[in-house]
Amino acid sequence: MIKQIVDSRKDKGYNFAFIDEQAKREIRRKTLKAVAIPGYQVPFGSRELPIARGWGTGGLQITLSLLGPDDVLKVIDQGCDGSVNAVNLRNLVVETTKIATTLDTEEATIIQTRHRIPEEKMTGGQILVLQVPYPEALRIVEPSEAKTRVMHAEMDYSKLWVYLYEDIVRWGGITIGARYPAMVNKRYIMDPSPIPRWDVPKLHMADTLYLFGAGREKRIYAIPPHTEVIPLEFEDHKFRVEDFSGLSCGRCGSTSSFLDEIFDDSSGQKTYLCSDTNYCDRRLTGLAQRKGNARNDR
Amino acid sequence: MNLSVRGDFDPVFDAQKIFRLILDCMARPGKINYLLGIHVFAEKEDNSFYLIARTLLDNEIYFVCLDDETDSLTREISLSTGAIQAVVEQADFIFCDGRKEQADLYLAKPGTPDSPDQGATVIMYVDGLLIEKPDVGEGYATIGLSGPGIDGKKEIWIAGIHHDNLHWLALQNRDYPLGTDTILVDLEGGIMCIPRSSSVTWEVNR
Repeated sequence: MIKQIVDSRKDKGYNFAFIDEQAKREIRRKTLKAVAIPGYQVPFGSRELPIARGWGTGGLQITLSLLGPDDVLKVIDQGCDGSVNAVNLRNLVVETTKIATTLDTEEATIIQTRHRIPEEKMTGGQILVLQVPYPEALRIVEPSEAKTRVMHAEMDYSKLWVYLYEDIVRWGGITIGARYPAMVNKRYIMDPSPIPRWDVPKLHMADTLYLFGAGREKRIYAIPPHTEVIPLEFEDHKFRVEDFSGLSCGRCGSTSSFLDEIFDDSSGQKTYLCSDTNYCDRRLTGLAQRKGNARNDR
Repeated sequence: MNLSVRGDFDPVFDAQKIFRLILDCMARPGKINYLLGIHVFAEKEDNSFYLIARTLLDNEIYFVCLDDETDSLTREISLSTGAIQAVVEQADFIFCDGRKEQADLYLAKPGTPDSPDQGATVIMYVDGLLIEKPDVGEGYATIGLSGPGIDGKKEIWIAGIHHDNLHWLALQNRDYPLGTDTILVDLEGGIMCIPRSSSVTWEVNR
C-alpha cells in the first residue's frame, strides 16, 4: 500500500498529505500538548495551504498530520458530506494522500467537521477534528489576546460570567446559540467551535478524542476521551439545547436529531430536515429495509 | 497497528504510525501500545528512544539524554533530527533511564502560567509496563491513574522503576496546568503516557 502511494506521488512535487514533515512534526508536538492540557489553546505555526484561511485550514492541518495510508476519512460541513467546503477539503486530501474516504460515520477512522458533531455515537477508535474560526471563548468580553491568556492562566473568568448574567437580565435567558462556552476538566473555559448547543453535551465523557484546529488564529486544543465538559450555567438558568418538540425531519421522520429549517419562498412554508445527512440517509435505508422485510414476512 | 520489520526509519509513514500510537496513549493514560519492528540500536531502550525522537524532534527542539555515558544516543539523535543538545532546565524533551534515581527531573521546565505547553516531555525507560498484576516476583510498582482520558480509575503495574522517580511522577502535576508529560517505554517496545492532567498514586510491592 505504502509503495503504491509513494510511486503514485513521485511526479507530484509535494509530500504525502501535502504539508512537509517539519510542519507535521510541529503540529504533532502541539497536538500532544493540547491533549495533555485539555481545553488549553496551544499556539502553532499555521501553514499556507491551497485553501484560504478561515475555510478550515486549522482542522485540515491537524487532519493532514494525523492521516496514514490505513485511515478512512469522512469530511462534513454543517453535518453534510456534499457541501462545497466538505467536498473541496475531501478532494484535496484524496489528491495528496490517495487514502479511502467514506460518507458513513461508522466506517470513518478520522472525521473532519465544520459546525456539527455526528448524530451517531462515535467510538474510541475514531478521532473527530473540528474546524474552529474563533478559538477564544473570552474574546466576546476581552479583545486583547495577551489579556485573555493571563485570564486563562489565573482562571479569571468573572467577565464571562457577568456577560452571561447581563444576558439573562436583558433578555431573560442566555442568548448564545452556537459557540456555547464550556468548562473543561474544571480548569479551562473553552470555545467548542460553532457547533449548536445540541452538540455540546456530546463532548462530555465521550469515548472519542476531539481535536480542535484554528488555522487563522493559529491555535490547537483538545478534549481527550472521558473528560468532563460542562457548559456554563447558573443554578436558576440551566443550560438547554435547542427545542425541536413537535417537529420532525420531512425526509426520514426523525424526531431525535438536530433539524435544519428550510423556508420555501414560493409557498411561504417551513420544512425541517436532519442536519446530519448520513444519519438521515441511514434512517431512510433502515426504514426501507424494514418495510421490505415486513412485505417479505407477509 | 504493526510497523514493518526492517532496519531503517521511514520519516513519513513510520513517523505517522508512531505519532498515532503516542497520541492514542496520551489521550488514554495507562493504555499500552507497542513500537515494533524497527531496530536501529542493539540496546532496546535506546531503540525506543530513537524512534520517538525521530517522530517528534527536529531543529526547533532542545533535548537532553540523562545517563548517556557513551554519548552515542545523544549524537545519533542530534545527527538524525537536527535537535539541539541542552541542559535539563532548557530541554523540551528529556530522555532518561527510570531504573536509576533521576534527581535532575525536578529541574525539568514546567512551562509558565500563560504558556503551560512549554513544559517538558520526559521519555523514561523502565523494565516492564504491565496491564495485569504480576503473579509472582517483586520490585514492581502499582500505579493508580485517574483524570481525563480514563474511564473512572485505572491501575497499571511497572517493573524496574526507581522509587524516587515514582515520587517525581506523582508530583509532576502538583501545580497543574504547569508540569511535565511523561512517556514511559519498556524492554518490549511498549509505550504508555502519563500526561500532567492525570492524578497519580503509587505503591511499591516489595
